[in-house]
Amino acid sequence: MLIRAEQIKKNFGNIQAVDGINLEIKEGEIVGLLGPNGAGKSTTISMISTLYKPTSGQLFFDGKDIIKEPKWIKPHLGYVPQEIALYDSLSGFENLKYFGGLYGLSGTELKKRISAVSEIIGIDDRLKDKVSQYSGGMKRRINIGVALLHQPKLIIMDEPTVGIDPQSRNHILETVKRLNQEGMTVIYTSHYMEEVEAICKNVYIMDHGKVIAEGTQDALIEQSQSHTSIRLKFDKEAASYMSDIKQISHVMAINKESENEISLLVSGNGNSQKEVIHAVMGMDLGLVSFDVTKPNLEQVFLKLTGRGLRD
Amino acid sequence: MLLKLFIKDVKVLLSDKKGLMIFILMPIVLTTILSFALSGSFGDPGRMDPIPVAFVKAYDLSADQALFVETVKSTLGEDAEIELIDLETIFFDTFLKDEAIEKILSPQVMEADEALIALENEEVYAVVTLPEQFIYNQYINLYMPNRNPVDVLITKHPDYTYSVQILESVMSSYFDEMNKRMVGKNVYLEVGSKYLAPEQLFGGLSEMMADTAEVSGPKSHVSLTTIPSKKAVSSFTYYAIAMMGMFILYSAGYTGRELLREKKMLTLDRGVVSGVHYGMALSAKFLMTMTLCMMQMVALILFSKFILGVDWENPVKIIVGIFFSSLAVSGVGILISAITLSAENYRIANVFENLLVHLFALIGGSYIPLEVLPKIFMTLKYFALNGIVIDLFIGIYQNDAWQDMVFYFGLLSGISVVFTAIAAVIIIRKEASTYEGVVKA
Repeated sequence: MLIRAEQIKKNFGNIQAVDGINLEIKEGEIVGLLGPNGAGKSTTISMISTLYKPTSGQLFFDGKDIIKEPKWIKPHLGYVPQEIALYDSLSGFENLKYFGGLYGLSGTELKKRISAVSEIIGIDDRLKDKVSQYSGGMKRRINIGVALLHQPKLIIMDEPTVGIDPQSRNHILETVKRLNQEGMTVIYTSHYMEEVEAICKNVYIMDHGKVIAEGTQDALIEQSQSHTSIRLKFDKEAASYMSDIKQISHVMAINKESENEISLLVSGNGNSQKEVIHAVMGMDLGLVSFDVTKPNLEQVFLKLTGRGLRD
Repeated sequence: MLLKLFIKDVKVLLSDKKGLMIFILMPIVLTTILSFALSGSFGDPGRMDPIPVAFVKAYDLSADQALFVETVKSTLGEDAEIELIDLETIFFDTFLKDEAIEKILSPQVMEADEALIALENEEVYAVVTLPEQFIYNQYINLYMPNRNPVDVLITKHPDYTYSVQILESVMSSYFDEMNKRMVGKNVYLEVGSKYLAPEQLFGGLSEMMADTAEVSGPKSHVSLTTIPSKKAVSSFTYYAIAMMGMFILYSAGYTGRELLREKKMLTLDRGVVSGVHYGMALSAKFLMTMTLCMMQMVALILFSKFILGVDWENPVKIIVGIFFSSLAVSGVGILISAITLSAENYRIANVFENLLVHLFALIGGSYIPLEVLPKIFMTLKYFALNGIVIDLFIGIYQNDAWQDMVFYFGLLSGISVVFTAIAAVIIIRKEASTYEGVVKA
């Protein structure tokens, strides 16, 4: 087991950010950490990254206690923070050189690694430009590249695709898959369910500082087969109907998908689906269409937490 | 690791072209402006231009003399004879044309209206009005037992306050000289009245006052010499040093923001994950501040030497002075940085840059020489880092002996050690509290 967390808790004053979670991450896995803002994801990965000391519990890296001795994990850890943690006024190359140097790389070895990493992140032609001149996507890629220089065993990515274009996002996701294929273990947190669905085999769903579900994607969806997802489309803005629809029998959770679309998690069999649709039609809210599907990971999350990922 | 952090900090510093312009060019520009603007208040011995002054005679010489003769006769009798000295000649030709006074004042006699127009046009810096009965009252004071006040009016131009202060001093010296003779006269009259008849007594006065014609300028008060072996400090020298002292404080201000900036950018966290300690980051900032401070000081000294012609003589003393000054500035810088990081806001750094730097500039003598301020400022300057640096570099400019500078080196080292120690304590506690998660960072 590469990472094992046992009942770790983290309090900031009176605020309990993480409340006794257990994690088991095997070498070579990509693990998704899902949860809305304030769920405790960033605090959890900050503890694994040795930025915060757990208030209680135990945390092991490769069997070694990293609360007592953080030095065991530092050389093997690549950390990609949520924000762009780079020096804007320096070039991409200078950033890579500096952070690589902090991990003890120097001379030819450092140059080779910079070359290899810039190829991985697909930015070698702009490496001499200042980071301030990069697009958001390029900054994100350098932000990841910095964490890869020393070829860590474990890379922690805290929402690495926030605010970037689809092309850069795809590139980052492909990079993560490639790194994993080369044997790197990845902990990946995101707001974007589709990203987690695309790259993570195992998922931990967190809310209010606790892990409320864990397992493979398939296992989590399996748990939700007794539920159905119904997507409703209206001819006008849908937000104002949400409180009324939530009162309908069998509706377990409701989420706004777009301006005039909402999705419902409905419990029970086909009869209960019919009852819900009839009830919505009877409310004369301007329903244009509806679509009944099996739940995906997002709907599992919705069921478990009662709220959307980006709420 | 420390070297890598330091090199990165210097690269970040050098990449900020706008900031560097402020750090390096601003003091050069201000030195140039202030040096030229206030060059009249400094200067080498004997090179000061005489102050142009208009003298207005509101008195009537012959009427004053006639009135005094009449006063003497009415007091001592019609037969009384007194030989009057020529006070007007003494004032204008003996006193004002004294060699020492001529170096200071350039007098012109004018009518009242003409003098005021000249003052408005800045052809003269002040108008001295010699009042009605100026001569008569002085005769009374010199020859008679009683004493009449002589009030001279000086009308000054507001732009030449220092010059007028010098003029006041010169005029006072004239009356001081005259007062000495009046005291002698009073003693003579008081003692002589017991032994001599009135005719003999007043007859002797003329003889006694004869040497009044030798009234001369107050050489001992206004001669323009300097202490032997001390070079005079020109405005260029003074402001090169004064601006250097002030602007190195901005280096401390820059450093003051750095750690929190890195914390907010998460580059500090990234460093911590790779094994960097806060103390190491702080040490790198210390070295970076020293570098910035040295760059500022070297730039200003080179500029003042090659462009303004300041005669810096001893490069070794300059290098040592720069080293100790930078050491102290770095101590201040990292203390602000540690406090700012600990508080997690820029309030202290802002207060330092926007308020304290200017306060220190005032009490340390960066804006105006402390000699023209109340005496308390001469003590207060030791509470301002720039004040200590200014004193040290004036000493270096004047080629003071090493032992005379040890005090300043000690003071600057002390500031550096104490401030660095406090910063280290703050940063260690902050690192511990962040890791322990006392509050969420």
